[in-house]
Amino acid sequence: VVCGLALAVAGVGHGQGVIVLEGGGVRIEGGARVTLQDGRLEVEVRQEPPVAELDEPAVVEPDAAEQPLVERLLDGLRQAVPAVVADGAFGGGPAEIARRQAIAERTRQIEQHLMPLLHVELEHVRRHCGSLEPTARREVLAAGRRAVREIAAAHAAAAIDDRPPPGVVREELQARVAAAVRTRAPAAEFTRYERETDMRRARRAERARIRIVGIVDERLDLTAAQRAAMLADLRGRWQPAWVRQLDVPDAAQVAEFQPAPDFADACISPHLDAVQRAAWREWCAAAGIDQIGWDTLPSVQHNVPQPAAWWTP
Amino acid sequence: MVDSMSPLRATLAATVAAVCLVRHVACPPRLPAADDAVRAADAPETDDADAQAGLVDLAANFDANLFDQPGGGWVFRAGVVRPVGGPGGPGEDPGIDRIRRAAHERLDRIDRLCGLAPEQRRKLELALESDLRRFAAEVAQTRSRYETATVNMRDRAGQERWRLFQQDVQRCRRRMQRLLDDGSLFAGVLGSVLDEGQRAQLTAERAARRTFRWRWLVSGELEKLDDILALTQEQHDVVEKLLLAREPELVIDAPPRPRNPQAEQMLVRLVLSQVDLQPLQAALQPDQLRKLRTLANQGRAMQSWLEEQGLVERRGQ
Repeated sequence: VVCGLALAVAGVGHGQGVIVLEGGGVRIEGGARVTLQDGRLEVEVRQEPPVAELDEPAVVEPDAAEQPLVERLLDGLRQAVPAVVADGAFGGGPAEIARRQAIAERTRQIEQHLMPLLHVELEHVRRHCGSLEPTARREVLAAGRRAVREIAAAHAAAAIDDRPPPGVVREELQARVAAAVRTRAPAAEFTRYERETDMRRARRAERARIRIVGIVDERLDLTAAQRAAMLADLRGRWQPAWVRQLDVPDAAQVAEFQPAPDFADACISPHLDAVQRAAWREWCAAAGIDQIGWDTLPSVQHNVPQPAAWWTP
Repeated sequence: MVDSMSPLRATLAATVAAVCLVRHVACPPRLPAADDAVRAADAPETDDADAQAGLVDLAANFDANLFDQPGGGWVFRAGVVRPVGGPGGPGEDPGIDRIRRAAHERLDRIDRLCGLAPEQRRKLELALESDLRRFAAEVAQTRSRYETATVNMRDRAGQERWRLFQQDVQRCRRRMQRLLDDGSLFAGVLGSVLDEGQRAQLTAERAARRTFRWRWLVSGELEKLDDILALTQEQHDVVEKLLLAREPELVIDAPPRPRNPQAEQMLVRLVLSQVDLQPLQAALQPDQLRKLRTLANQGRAMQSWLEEQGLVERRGQ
């Protein structure tokens, strides 16, 4: 087992993995730390695996008797570094290796792009949960970074495999950070943080609705009554995923059109007159966000504050 | 309808000027004669790449600067800066048709809101066409001053000529932005052909549209402020209330198209620099207030640029 896993770690990480069995856990020097907790394996990666060097993945061929432990360890590794230790990560031909490398590269890019979103969340936590103990802060910070990495990996894999993006990034991250804070912050502080997070989410939804109506108004010259009716309809039938309208850049153009929020057609077209509806159909056919499969990462502010020293006491 | 010089172009122009200025200071050129600044476009071109690098074809750049043609960019062609998409030149008015289309869209909007009678619409169409033709003639006359003119941005005379050229472009752009506004034949006819009910309906719709548009711009900026300042709901509401209360007189009949997100953002920040500070001081933490002031100052610093962007009505001109 030790030799097989050493090879596995060598394939994932540094080329020199040393596995040490100690107590109830397995320590992989130079790569990751694996522990058994509540009957499951948890893997914490100590260093960034240099995945770009993943040219020739190692092959693990454990004896039949060792298979369950190997599988459990690999499961743990898959959770820790999903972009790298995807299914079949320790095998496959050149195409699979190229895919894994593309996912790893894209993961790094997305991770970098999303980091300001984590900083925003951390700042909210700091403002509302000021009593967090130093150890808890470090744990929340680590959980947040891990969440960014995993969300980035999932979105990278979806992008490379040409699948729809799995969920709304900002809200996934908020949920992951909140989960880390929930057990560590005093209940009253966490409640306040959670309430503010809910209100932030509601604000973003309202902004997305205003933006949808604004974009339609700009192109189709709505009347005040049409705008009001559309806004009310959007509020009534709102889908959380529609908040993605906020991630479409203002300057985005498709075939000289701004991308059309066709996903909300049911709340838009009933309020248009015949001339406007014809123009709306034409617009959606040429540049509808759903129609063309428009996908974009969340827009982020790159001038958000870096996490304060408070996070790393 | 009307477009303004994009920040990209403004940056390019500034960069060309700045590079020329730096080169001029660092490596004083031979003393040029005043006539050296402007060359005929068909003058023989030297093989010296350095000598060519600072040349800008004014006639070809006039329409691109004025109308900001979509998809336009800049190329060095035979060592001279020209807009992408052809040399342009005398007699070509690619922007006029776009203005005409946008003007008719405006007329259609009025028609939808007020239900114009055929005779009312006919009078307005005539007035609109008359205003357009007068404007096209003014553009043609101004453009003609730059036929066959190429300036060398590496010498002072060329830079001065470029400055005057930009002034002419700005003047035409301002005229274009207000083409159908007060003082135009269209505005005069509109005031006289609508009945009282139609006029009230139009005024109410314009006011509602302006308010909605401002709310949209404010909400876009609050999306950013929420991230930058980590606002609570209460703080957010204070900032939002202050901004919404200072609604500027946005241009809504002929807003710049395509939109200018940077100008819109800076407009909100400019307004932010003008709001009452007391509620903000009471609501925000010192570090949040400091960051907010920095952002507001960015808007304030862009005030003169913003005035040229055509987002807000210009009164008294």
